[in-house]
Amino acid sequence: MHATAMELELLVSGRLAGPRAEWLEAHCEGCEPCAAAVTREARLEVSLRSMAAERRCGMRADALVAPVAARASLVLPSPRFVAVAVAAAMALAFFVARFPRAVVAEPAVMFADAGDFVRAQPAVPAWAGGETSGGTP
Amino acid sequence: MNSIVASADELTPTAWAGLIRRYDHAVFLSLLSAGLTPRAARELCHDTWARLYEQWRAGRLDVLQLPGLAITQAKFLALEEHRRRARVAPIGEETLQRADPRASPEDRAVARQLVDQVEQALERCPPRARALFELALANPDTPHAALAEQSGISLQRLRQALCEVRARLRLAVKETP
Repeated sequence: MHATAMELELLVSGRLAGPRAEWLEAHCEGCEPCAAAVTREARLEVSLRSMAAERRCGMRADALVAPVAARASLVLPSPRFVAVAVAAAMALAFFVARFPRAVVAEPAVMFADAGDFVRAQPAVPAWAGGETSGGTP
Repeated sequence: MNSIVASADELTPTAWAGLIRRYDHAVFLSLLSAGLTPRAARELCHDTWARLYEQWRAGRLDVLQLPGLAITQAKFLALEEHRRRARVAPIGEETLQRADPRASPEDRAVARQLVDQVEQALERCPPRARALFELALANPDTPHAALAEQSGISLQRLRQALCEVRARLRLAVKETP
């Protein structure tokens, strides 16, 4: 007598207990077809659990990547499309160049953090530029 | 089954017992799918948890990621046992190595292919039976009686549909090399 499909399913799903479980475990030690059937049933159970986990987590990682990769290879633009796009860009540039320019006033003082090289120097008063008087006699 | 990543410092012997109850079947199933007989798989499960517990007691486990760590340990022990005594793993060492979660990308592709084939076989099933099977698959902890009531069919009809679909999937796995 061999194990039934139901017993195999119950064994791999962890629901086979008692004397029937003990019989099946002992039986598989001497019955190669049943041992192989248990292996196949376990592989099926592992696959089903993987599938269920993937479905719980949403889309499979490889299913997510594959369409993106396929799309990337399909959206290569044709030469005609490139020519039209370049012409449109040139027309837009010409149109924008003819717009009146907005006048932006220069800032009175420029603050920068690039160091002393670009920092606005303090104005030197006129009296400070002359020769020293020599002080009080 | 949800996995758990826990700091080993936080575990107590009672918590260990709970983790073993929760993840023992996942380890057992992984050993069965690797080709071990149920009896050999049970023995190795016991050895696996004993080994992990010893490692924890010795302070060699910082983080416990389950069931992955236990499955890896179990397959390592199975391979070791096979090499030493050649009494387990009737399908052979190659199968054990193929089922190792740390196996090469090619081996993972084989497992991936099996999942794909099961999925394709499921898609070929009659729509109503497939929908019932997918419902049961998505709700493994819900009793079949509740699923039957939810679907508006008898319990017997639900079980019949599940059996039919599983038989087709079983055939797909059998045909896989």
